[in-house]
Amino acid sequence: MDCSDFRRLTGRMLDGAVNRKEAEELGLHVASCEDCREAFARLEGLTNLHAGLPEIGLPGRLTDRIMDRVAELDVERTGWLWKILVPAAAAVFVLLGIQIGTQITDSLLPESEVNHAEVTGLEYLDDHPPDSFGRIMGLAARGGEDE
Amino acid sequence: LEEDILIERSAGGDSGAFRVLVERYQREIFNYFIRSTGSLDDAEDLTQQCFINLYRSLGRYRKKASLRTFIYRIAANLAISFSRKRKSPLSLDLLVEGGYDMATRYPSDLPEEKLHARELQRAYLRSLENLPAEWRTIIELRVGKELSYKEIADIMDRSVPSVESILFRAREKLSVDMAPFLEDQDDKKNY
Repeated sequence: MDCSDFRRLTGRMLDGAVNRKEAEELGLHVASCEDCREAFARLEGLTNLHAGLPEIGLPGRLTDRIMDRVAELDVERTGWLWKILVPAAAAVFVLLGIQIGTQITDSLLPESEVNHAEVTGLEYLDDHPPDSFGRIMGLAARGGEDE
Repeated sequence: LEEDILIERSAGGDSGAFRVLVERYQREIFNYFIRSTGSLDDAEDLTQQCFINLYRSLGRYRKKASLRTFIYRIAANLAISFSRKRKSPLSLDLLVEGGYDMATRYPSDLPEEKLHARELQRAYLRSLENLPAEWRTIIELRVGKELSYKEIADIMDRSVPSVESILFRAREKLSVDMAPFLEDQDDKKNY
């Protein structure tokens, strides 16, 4: 094993990811090469330094803050259903109300005796002043003949 | 309760079960974000976002990877995305000002040694700052969280050799950056 092989395997050695044969070869090399020994000691020191960095406690109420957001998420998840269901239910109630109201009114009022005039679609013409849009359209319907 | 049951119940909308999962993982995720962002406030916000994203995606979780790996995948994406968007450079020094108590895990009680350990840790944090976000994440997952190469590869969407290569380069860079401080340490020991 030469120095470049050693460097290549250093990281795996620090991570405990070398097999027995590789570990033996690394051990032999490091015993005979001062540069690699120092380099390895430096990397090992850094690994220990990183692993020894302090961890700090959680800020107060972090769990509650997370769970509050989760609860909001649940409301958002089901909210779209209510947005559809509520107007749909309201529309059904309105239609039912109209239907029931009409039936009640019909059952209470006496039968109408009004004689419905025969409507030809031209009688309204007399109500329109000359040169009005309604009169012109009426005349057009009569084929241009005024009364 | 078994984690599988907690996951299943959480995916079905059981917030009590999800709370147990949050309590189980939030501390290490929070500390992961502290080292990724250099800010206690940002770490808190990202931790919250991480668990919200987890809650949203639990329905898609398959047991191919552990839940811890699954959570770190979400966390790593958030951290890298955050560091791409940030305007100011990462400053882990701010952590110290923000109450991050250095050297609390240093075994010696001697004031001089504690002081020196603090200096060393600050220098190390500054060296970490200079790494690309992805390298920093991989170093933290391997050395800080002791995840395997395979787990890190899954989290980072990379191959195992690629993870090993980044770890190698990151360690080399840290070693070069820290050389003056480590030599200083050796001198002090020899003295």
